[in-house]
Amino acid sequence: MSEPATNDNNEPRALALKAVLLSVMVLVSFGVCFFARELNFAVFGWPVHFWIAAQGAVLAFIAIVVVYAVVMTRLEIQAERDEDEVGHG
Amino acid sequence: MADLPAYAAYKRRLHRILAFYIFALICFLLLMAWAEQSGLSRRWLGPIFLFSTVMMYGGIGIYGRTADPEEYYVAGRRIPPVYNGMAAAADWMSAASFISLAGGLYLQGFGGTETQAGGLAYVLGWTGGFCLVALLIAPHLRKLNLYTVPDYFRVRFGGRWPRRIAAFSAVLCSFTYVVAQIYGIGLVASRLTGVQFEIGIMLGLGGVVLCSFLGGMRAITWTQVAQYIILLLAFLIPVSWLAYKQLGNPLAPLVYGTQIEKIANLERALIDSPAEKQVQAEFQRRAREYAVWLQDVEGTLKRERAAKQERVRTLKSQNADMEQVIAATRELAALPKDVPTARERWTRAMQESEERSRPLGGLPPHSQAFAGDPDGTPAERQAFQTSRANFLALMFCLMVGTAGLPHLLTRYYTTPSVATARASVAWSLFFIALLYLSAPALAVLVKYEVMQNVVGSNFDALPPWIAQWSRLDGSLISVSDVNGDGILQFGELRLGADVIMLATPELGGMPYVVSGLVAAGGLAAALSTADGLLLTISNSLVRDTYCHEVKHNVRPEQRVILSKFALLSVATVAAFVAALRPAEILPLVASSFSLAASALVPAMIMGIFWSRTTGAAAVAGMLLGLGVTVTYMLINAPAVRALFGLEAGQGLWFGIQPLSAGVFGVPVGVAVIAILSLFQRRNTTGA
Repeated sequence: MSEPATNDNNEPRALALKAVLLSVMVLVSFGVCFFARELNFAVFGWPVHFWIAAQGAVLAFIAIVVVYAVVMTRLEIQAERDEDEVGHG
Repeated sequence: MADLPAYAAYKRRLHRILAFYIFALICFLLLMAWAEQSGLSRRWLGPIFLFSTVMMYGGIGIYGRTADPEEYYVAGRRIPPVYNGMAAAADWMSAASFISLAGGLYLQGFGGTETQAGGLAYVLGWTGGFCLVALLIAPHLRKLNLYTVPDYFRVRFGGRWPRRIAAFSAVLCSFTYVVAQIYGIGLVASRLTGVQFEIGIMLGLGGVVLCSFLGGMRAITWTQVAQYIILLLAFLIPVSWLAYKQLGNPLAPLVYGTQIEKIANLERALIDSPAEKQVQAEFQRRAREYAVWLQDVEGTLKRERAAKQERVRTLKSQNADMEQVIAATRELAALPKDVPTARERWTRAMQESEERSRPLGGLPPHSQAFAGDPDGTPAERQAFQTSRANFLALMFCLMVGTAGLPHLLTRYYTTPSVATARASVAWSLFFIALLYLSAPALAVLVKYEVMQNVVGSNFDALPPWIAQWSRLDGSLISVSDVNGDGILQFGELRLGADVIMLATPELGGMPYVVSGLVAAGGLAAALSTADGLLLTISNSLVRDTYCHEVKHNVRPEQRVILSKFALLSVATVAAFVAALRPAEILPLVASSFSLAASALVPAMIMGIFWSRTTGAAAVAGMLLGLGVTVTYMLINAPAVRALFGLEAGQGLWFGIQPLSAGVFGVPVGVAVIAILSLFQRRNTTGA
């Protein structure tokens, strides 16, 4: 069986990053919505549960995706540099 | 990241074109506004908007025509992430997102009712899914230089069956989706220009087919960018206008919080209002009447018909006013023709009356999370639990389904590199959020406007938009003086989900140009999604099925030509199905998320992250996951239950609605793949 598809960036740091970001995502979506009744109080004129579900969570999703893109790019550049150093050294 | 000079120049040229396009679009809008001011008839504005935008999409298609396979399938893999993000956003946002989302939020508030979860679950599900796409799927698929989603199953698992099942699932969920889009095209075109539904379909489809037939992914990408700009303007202009009118600040998502509080107060006043209670009592009476009628449908129908005929006869014999006679004849003609129709119509009428006999016309209080009460009676507690479970289940299915819909995933094949694929998902989510953050705001603003200004006005002095839209289609707005006091109560006004977005321009007193723009936006949303879906289906049929099953050595150029003709035939079939106006299609769209989630996602993600996943396990997981989902949907479909003589609504597991069947299919798929992979591995190592 061919296995080219199992990718090489299953390295521990990338996996840890994914795990952390995905748990944040689950927390702001499923976690907040599960306790929506308990979060029914107002801050700055907004009912908190409504604000998180309508806006806060979406903003958090954007943050998650942006953080992932930036950190992964940095990790890849670092990995390339390490490889170069090993190659030259 | 540094780009090559040629690529940087290419990007600069794109920026210039985009800036010029936006400028031209705004000039066009101003020109139309001026024309309206100087007396251009409203009858012309709608058609002008529709024709000119469709012509423009067709023009982009002609300009982007190609026969090169790399260009046709993946747009040459050089689309910069920002533009790919815009294209993906337009691809993603369907007619339902654009036209019905705000309306759904108006009707369902935070989370919908006990029997129908919804509301913000759609906003959360349709955006949260992008986290899964970005973190788990898109970069990994991009790395493999694939052309279609079933390609992944061929490359990763080998053999025939993984690819076959993936291609079948891709076609299955994309086809139901594309029929709904074409249906939406027909609706928008016919409602807003007054042309016939079928002609509307042909008109819109002409633009789609011209574009994707000639230029494939390359032309579609740039059309979708153009469509995104239109639908963004079409959504934000009316919302900002309404927010400015109500709150003095056009940035609706930032300021609508104060209105939520006011709506809660208005709702409390409405619940206590005696006039509302009269309306509710009247609906209760009607519901009871229909229940009595339904006990003996045939007899009631005969009795009613005889009574109506008698009335027409007496009126005629008394030489009564002609108008009275005509009204009585019309009532007679409006009676159901036969017993099954009568049963169906009266059951629906009974359910509607029951719903409207509840406080607030059956709508949940806007900011209340879930139905029922966690501290109330056992029944209320039960309602709360089911409602919350359904909300979470729907959100889960929409999220996972987003990660499995092939037309979205193929968009990330067109970026130059893995890093740009990741960036592109981020841009997509940003461009989608621009609209999705405004949709709840629009729902709240409209609800406030209705509760504060429309309710309580005299029936002789209703705002003109109510009469206009209810004349066009009774399912959009129905309004009648139920308790006969001449004043509009909240319970007497019933708005359909689609009308909220379509009527917003008139509700806010905006010029008719904005209505034309909203129509163009709805059309753009439907067309862009239809574009992507048609391409996905035809590629699945030609690349993943024909070239593997029927004829093996097809040259790449021949593949493109075959794909083009497959696209044409799929478009024709889909248009034909949509022209039959199947009543069941709209619920099917939401369920295509469950289908995609349970068929494709478990095998895809496990294949990416778990090197031990075997092909046989993937096949079994996909089949069983899809099987569980489809079975659950079928055993709960009213038509199927009636066929087997089962009692309606009795087959639910944990009270989960059939729409969210993926919540069972996905775990089954994951479990089957994991167990079989481990089992096979042990057998091979043991042997």
